[in-house]
Amino acid sequence: MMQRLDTRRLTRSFTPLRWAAFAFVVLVILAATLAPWISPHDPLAQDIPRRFLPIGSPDHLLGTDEFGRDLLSRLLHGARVELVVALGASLVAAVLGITLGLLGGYFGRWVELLTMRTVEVILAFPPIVLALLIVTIYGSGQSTLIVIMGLLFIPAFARLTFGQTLGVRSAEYVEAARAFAAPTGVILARAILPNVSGALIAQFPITLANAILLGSGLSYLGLGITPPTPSWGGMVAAGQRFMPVDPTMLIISSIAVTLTVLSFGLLGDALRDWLDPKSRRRR
Amino acid sequence: MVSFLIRRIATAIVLAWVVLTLIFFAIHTVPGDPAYQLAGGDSGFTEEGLQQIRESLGLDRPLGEQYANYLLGVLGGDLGESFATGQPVAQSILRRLPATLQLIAAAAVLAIAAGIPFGAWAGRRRGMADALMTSVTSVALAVPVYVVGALAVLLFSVTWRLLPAGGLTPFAEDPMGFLRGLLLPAVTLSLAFSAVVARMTRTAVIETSDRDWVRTATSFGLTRRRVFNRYVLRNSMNPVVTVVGLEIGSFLGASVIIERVFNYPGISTLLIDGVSARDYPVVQGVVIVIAVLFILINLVVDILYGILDPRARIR
Amino acid sequence: MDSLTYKFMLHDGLTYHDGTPLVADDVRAALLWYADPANSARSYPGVRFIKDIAIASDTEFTITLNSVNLSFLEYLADPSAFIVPQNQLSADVEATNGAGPFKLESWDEGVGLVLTKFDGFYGADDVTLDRIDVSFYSDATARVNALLSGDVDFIDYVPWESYDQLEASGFVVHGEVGVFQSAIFNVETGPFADPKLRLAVAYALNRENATAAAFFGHGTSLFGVPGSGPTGENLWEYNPERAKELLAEAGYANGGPKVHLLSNSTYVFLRDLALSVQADLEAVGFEVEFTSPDWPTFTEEAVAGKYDVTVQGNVGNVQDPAGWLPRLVQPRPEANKSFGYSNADLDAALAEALAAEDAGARQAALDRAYKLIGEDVPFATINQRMQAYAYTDRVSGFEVMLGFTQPYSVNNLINVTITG
Repeated sequence: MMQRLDTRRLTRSFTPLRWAAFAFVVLVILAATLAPWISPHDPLAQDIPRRFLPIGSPDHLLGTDEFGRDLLSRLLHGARVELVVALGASLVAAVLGITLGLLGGYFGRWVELLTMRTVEVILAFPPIVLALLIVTIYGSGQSTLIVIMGLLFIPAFARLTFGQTLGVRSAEYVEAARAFAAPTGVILARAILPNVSGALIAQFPITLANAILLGSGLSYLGLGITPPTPSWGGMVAAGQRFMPVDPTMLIISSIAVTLTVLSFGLLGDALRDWLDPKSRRRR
Repeated sequence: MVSFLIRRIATAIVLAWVVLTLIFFAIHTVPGDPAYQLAGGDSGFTEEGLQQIRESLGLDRPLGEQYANYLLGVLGGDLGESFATGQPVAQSILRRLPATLQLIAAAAVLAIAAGIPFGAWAGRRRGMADALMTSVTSVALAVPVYVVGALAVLLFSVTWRLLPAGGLTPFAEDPMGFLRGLLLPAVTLSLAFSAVVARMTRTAVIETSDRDWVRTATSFGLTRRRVFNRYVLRNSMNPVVTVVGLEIGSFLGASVIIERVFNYPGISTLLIDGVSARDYPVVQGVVIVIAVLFILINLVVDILYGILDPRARIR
Repeated sequence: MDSLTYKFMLHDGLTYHDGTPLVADDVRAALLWYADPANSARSYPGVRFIKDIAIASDTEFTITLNSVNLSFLEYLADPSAFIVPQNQLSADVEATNGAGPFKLESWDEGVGLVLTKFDGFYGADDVTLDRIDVSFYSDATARVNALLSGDVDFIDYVPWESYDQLEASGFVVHGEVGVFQSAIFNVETGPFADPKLRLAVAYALNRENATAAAFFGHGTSLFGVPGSGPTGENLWEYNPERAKELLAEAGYANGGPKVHLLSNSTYVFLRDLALSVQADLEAVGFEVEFTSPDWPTFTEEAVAGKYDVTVQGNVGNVQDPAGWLPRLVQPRPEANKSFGYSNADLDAALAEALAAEDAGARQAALDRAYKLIGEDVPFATINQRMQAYAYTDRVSGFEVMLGFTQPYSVNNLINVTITG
């Protein structure tokens, strides 16, 4: 029994602010995807004699950074880097987390013990500590970050799926499927998953927002993306250092991160209102 | 009830052991030789000198033996000695831990004090109030903690010279100075958390208000306000309790950044310095202590939840 | 006395901070302990020249060297050669008892320490400060903010981007140029085994850009050996065309080779220098892979030669190039010298300069050494950086030491006063 797309709830869930957030998300994704083609300059091209140019300089719309590199190009490529990492991490977390939650919620007993306790081990580790260690062993870089952040975000998906599965597993249609001796995999995929998917789809942008926050936080501490590859967190850190000389770097990169995280968060709120019946809020 | 308690405590102990083992083997395989760091890095060292250092630190023993020794030590309360300073790790941690705990406690108190009233107000009034709360909390959740911290230092310390830019005065020495030094870091840390608390409170309030028994109470003639303060608010606290436990984790992550920006001498700085110096005992010790803290808090939250909601004990 | 023998007289009545007397025998014990290679002492490179120390009395002793070293006295003045009580000459004992103008009152590891005036110091009348509170700030911006907001009166290691801001806010920024940075190579395996390619790098480096990027212009470009005079200071120049020619001569007329530039994430200025170097190398045709792990991993990889080129800071611990150059070119594994480099002719020229008794012979030997460095490029110097201290205008009497001893200025806080 699939959930129909409830278009009435859709229009009620999406306020004008949330539509704006959705539009911004689309904008960021487009910018990130098209970055290599729409950037006016190579984000790595240095021009040290012309560093810290202000906004609106000829040839550099948003100015230049401490190495004379074009800020606009670095912002666009930085978006790409942040999104690739955040998206990768969220996908890893979603796939692994949903699997753990489904298995644990459906089978119960020792399977539940194994899966949910694994989740607790992950939660018992302070995230930055884990990230620090992994980055020191395997070096910083996009693939390392995707793996480590993916692991760290598993609990959100796992617990959500677990809770939802528990609620659904005793439903009649599931009993019916079992009575027909359908293979477990099919039951999980066809009967249970679609009914929990609402909440999960809504969780995805939220995890993405958190991944951007964590990833940029790590880059800020110097543990994330290696320079000279642009990253928003790295740009905020550099902007902070050079604030007395040129505050625009800090302002631009801070706004970029904040608006993006905000938009993804609002989008997630909207999707949750629309797709997840259990958390419906009266407007 | 008792079997529930025993089960949870047993799980907690196993969890702590797993974390200890993982961190031990992880830090020992990280590249970067501690002996080299201790020998002064860039001058005058010889291979014999390095070997001597390794022996004195016990690093030349087989890894399994080192692990067994460490485990036995921990069970007896001995977390080893720092490679760099020779001080007992337990002592160093005990000196820094109070500062971090004070920071987290202050932030939690601030967040609850600000978040609950705000969320309750929005949940009761709905309409414009609700929309306002949602927008404000969304922004609070989206702004990265390092941006807030940097702005706070810039405004309150450097420009307006109202509060110190960093460090921490011990309470015993100067209570006012201590509070002033704690204020900015705690407020920065509590920002995102107050947003979460506010939202949770709002949702819980709305859901409870719609319950039948609330409507019954109102129909008996009790004023809406009385109903709200007496019954709705108190019964909305369950999810808030859970959230506190869950969010302590992100507190510690954010406190790493806070301690860096405000030069606040807490346990996260001890950890980062330890990793930078490859001071294995310090890193292991801090991670274990933090993990045990987490596990304890989760345990307490679980038990509280079990007390508040008997249905939760069945699983 | 003669160039191999030095006679020392100690002041009368010297004591350590705990009151025990400081005698000549302590000096002998300490110096000989440092000279033992198994103890990995920082002062080893200087004190290893000691052949013997003869005690005449509690306050008189004579040191005999096994070969001439005109910089010997400078080595002894280095803080790493301080005299401490004999019971502290061990890796296990915490060395908190000394004989200087300030004694250690308390130490909160990782957080700070407190120093108080030692009244038993032989020059105690000149010591004007009663107490110094030291706080550790590992983040440079936090350090600057602490000074700006009045939390502290004095900071060291001022980040270069803040010099102007601090001066504009009424603080004294006091610095000197001394410490220098160079590009060093893996000459054992990889493309830089070929001296032509190393020479190409020396010509490819745009030192002005590097200084602007990493030090905001607060530094001086280096084109040779710092402090060596006209014969040694102009070995190379910024000439990318020449660099490209050298690449072509080495067989890389159409771009390449691919090289690994190792940097680190801990010292931001070294990383910024490396980024500038990367751009310069790519401009002449190299293909550069850039990695920057944290400092311990970086030093491990540097010592093991897991790189093709890297950027390192260097400081001689004495002024005389014949004294500090050997460390950078002798075949000993160290993190801040080129991996696998060894040049017997260069070693011979430097040893000759060190042992020479007259200035003319010394200079001739040094000139030979400089020429060899210019051609064989054991390191390609980039620039010298300014190291500055900053303090409120209420502090006076602070002197910054010159040249390579600059970082030790903070060890000399006698005569410093503060008002208000």
